[in-house]
Amino acid sequence: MKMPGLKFDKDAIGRFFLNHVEKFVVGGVGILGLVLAWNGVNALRAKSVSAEKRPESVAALTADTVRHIDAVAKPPADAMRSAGQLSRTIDPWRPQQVKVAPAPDVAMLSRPVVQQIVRRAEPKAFPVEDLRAIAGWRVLKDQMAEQMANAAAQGGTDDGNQSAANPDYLEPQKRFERLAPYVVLVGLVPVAKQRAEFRRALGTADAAATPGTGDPLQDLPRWGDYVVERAVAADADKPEAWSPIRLRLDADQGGSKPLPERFLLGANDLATSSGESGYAASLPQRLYEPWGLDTIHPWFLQPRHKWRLERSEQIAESPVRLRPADVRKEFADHAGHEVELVGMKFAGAAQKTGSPETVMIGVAAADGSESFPPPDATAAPTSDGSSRPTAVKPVFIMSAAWQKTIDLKSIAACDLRVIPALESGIPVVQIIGITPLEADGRQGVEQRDPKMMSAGGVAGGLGGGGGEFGGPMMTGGGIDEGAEYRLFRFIDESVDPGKAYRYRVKVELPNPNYGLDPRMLADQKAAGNELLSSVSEPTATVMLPTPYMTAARASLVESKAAADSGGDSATPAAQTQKSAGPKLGKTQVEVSFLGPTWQHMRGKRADQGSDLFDLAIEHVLPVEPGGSVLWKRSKKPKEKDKQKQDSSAAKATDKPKPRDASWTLLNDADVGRELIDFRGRQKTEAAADASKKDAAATAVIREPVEMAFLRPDGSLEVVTAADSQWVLDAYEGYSAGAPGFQSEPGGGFFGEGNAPQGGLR
Amino acid sequence: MIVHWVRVLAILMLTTAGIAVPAAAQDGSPAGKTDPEKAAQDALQKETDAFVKRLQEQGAFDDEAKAFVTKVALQKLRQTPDQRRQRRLAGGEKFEASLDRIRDALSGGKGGAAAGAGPKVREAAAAWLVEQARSGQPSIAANATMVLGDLRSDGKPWVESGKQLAAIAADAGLPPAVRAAAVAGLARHVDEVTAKALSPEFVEKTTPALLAIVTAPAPAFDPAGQWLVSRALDLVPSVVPQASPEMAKALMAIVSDQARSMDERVRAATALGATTTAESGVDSAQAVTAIHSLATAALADSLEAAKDRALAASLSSMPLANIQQSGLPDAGSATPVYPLGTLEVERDAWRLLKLSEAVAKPKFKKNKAGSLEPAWAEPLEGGLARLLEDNAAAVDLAKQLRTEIDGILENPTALRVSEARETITTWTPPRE
Repeated sequence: MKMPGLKFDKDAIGRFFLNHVEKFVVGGVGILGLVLAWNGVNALRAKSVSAEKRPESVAALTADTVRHIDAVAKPPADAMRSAGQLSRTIDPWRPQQVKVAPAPDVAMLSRPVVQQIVRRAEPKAFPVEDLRAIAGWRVLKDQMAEQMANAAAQGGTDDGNQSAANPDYLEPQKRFERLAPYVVLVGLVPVAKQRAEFRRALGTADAAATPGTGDPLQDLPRWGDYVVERAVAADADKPEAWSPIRLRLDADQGGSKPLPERFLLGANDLATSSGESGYAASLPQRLYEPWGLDTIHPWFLQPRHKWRLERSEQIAESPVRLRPADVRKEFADHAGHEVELVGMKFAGAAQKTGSPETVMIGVAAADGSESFPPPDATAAPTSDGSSRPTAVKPVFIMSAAWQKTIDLKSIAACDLRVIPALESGIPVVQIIGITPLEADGRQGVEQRDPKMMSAGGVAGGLGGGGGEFGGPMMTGGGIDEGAEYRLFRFIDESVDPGKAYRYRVKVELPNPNYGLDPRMLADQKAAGNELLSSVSEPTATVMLPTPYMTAARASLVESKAAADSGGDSATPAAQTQKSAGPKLGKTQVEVSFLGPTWQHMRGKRADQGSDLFDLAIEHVLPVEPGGSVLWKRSKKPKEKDKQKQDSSAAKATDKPKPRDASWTLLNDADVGRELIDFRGRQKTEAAADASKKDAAATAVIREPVEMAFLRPDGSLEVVTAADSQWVLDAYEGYSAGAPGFQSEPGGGFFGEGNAPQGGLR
Repeated sequence: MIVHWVRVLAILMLTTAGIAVPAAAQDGSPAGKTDPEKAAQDALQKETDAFVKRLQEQGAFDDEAKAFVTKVALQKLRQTPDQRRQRRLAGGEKFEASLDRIRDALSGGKGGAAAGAGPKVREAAAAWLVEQARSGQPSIAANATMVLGDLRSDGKPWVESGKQLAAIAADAGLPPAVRAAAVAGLARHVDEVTAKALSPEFVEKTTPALLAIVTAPAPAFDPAGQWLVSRALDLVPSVVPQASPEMAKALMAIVSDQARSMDERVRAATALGATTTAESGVDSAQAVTAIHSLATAALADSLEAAKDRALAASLSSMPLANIQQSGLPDAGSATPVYPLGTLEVERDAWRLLKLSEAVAKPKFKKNKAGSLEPAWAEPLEGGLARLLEDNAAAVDLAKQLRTEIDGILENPTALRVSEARETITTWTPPRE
């Protein structure tokens, strides 16, 4: 091995330093660092604490200090001076004197945090229970037609070209009404059960603030959304096709505007002030007939839920009391304010006004000193077809729906709660409360107009109670712990006649776990945005009936019409009824079908849906069980025909007239019913009166007229005259002769479910 | 010149033809369009003629005849819109006439009997109708049952069809509407022969059917079932003039059954009062007490119904919050100020009258004024009081009921009906 050659010449030395000088520098720094480190470690290991810093020295110093302090704080008694102002101020704050309150029990820190958090599971959303569907038809106000008419009338007045408007809308007797089918769904929202489920899953009490949010209402169930699904009943062997309902918001205007599949209804009548939304849809306006019990789930009809009457005492403060004689004198002073009229009574039957929502009623002082009869029924009708009162005395009106609930005849004397007002210059007094007076003058329980109660204090006093339905919680009433269920109500107006439907509902609640710290949840899946229930049990199949309703009369219409008109057959109604058909055979009975005529359907058949609907009409026809249904109605007779008819009325009713193109014919399929059986004999009023003269009263009591009809689905509909009376009365008020409606008979329309209580009682 | 006149004549002839042909068409002549109404009428008439003729000539109720009966008489409620239109165009009276002709033809009536095809056709049709009633779609089955009830023999209801109707009425497996149609047919038999005697065969078949209907358990709310039972109860006095212990027991059970409709209970009481004999095994005093309870319940039911109706009428304008929060209002005070219809009061009066007669039915005599008055001093014409040794209390009840009838008819208000109920409640039952 060759030894490396060493050279120490100038170049070699220079080259050596150039190549290795940095190594020497780094090595030197490293050695210095090692020396410093060694000294440091050695100092840490070997250097001890000084004696005065040792614990025993510190303890000794502390004890000495305490001794000195005590020596100063507790001087000999002779050396003490009395406590000065400063001492008296400081002493209560010395540690010995201060009473420290125990630490507050903070919820978050009083329990193991993790143990509480793991209890927050995902609550289950319960579906609507006991969903029911009821189908029918109703007459509603055609607001668009009315607006058009008003606009046309206005335009005509302005430019004098009234004839340019649609003449249909300008006829004074026209009412802007439309026949529309519907299906009402009612169900029960399990409020109490859902609240219990939230408690179970979230482990919090209702009133406790939710950890992480501080919101005491976070853990309460709040229903947010729902989806109504509908299936058109198909053959038994085909699966049902469910699809969400697309509402037509502007159905009332006759158009169709699809909405999102999921929607919330607008503000309902639950709480007008808070703008809450809810599951109970507001009822659309219905003319002539109230919606009735079909729109309330039967659960709410249970006796244990009866309203406590004492709540009505919360209504309002006592109004000004007026005597009947002061009404006219002080009318203007109290316009728009509640007034109590003392010592009144009712005089005469209610009379229709231009609006189906109100009726005119005659009242008088109980002592007979003053009377306020309704205006003369023969007063000239106004342009809207109503009878405009001409008397100076105020006209008393009341809600038509409310009036039907009170037997005014049985109230001998009463105090009235009223609101006077001037309407188009006419003094009108609206009755909103009736307090019957006993014979000894004591006041009975006041009956209030339910509609006015909502505007008054009762609803507010009750606190609303629907805050959990989507909107904010109510401010006054708190949570109704006693409410086991809330009403679910939905009205489907996009149904077609002749089809059968089933419905089911899914509800959705906001998830109270949404947005919380994930560590508070037992399962990360429990933090979803919403809780969706399963679908409810589907309703039974409901079939939209034909727009005809059956009613039974106890007496024959023919003679009744003649009696009512005093033998004058000039009115179209009388003409219609006189020409109703041949005399009844022994096995025949007269049936009233309430429904539209083909003319009113504007050429459409019942199964094709309805168009603009003007007036309902009563079809009276003789029917024999198993026989066919036939009704004939002639056009308004001409003057010469009237004379002929008077002379040959009997002949005309003995046999059917020759068919005329203007007659309307109905058959069983049109009305959707077929008479199977009946009992009770219909007589003319005159015949009944004649028999009363010949026998004791009890001997001439007729068996109630009752009929059984077969429906297309094979079910039976039982109609009784006693229960039909209310339906027919609603219709008759709008037939010929009633003030405000001069010519054509009109009437009510009734859903299947709103027919008089089906069956026998 | 002649040629010229020929030309003028030809032009005139062509012009006349041009005017006459369209005019003839408008008049409905064969050259014009066919009137759909007339065509429909003609079609129905022709079909009916062919049906009747076939029955007369062939004397057989064949498939073609069945199809025609099905189309016209059994499918009335199941027509398509086009069929309805056709029927409307054909005219209601034409359709009605066709129905009558079908019934006559099947019954061996006018056309059928004359042709000697009556009995044979009737039996064949009855067998087919029974088949339809038992296996058809409900509305067809009910219509078939009604046609079955229309079959006649020698101008009277046919006894054989009565037997078949009784079997259908008693069959609990059939829809209530079909059974109700059968009972309606039985009622027609009873109504037409009441003056004479009912055929023993008919009574033999109908009695068990009625018993089966009245002894069957009643569902909670079933209008069809209620109608069926109620109509069957109407027939009991005619078909079973003397109630067997079994029948009397069934009637008594209905009278006391608060789950039944008031109508059923009142008619059961009527049947009980009319058919009970000493052999029926009924405790008459207990039955009178039950009828007394029923009388007060009937009036209470009427008042409750009026109250509910008032409530329903007020619902549309009632704040939903009130309903949801606290249930429905109690519709007023203790004083009944809600309206009661005059017909409802008349129904109450009729019920009280029937219950009164079930307890004690007096004979009537003319008074000096010439009007009829109950002769309470004379032996009773009917009622359970006849079976009581001491019937003074029962007769008092019957009198009281009649008095209250007059009262409520005179003043048909809820208040008066309520007072009548309270008055009737004060009656003391007989001690036995």
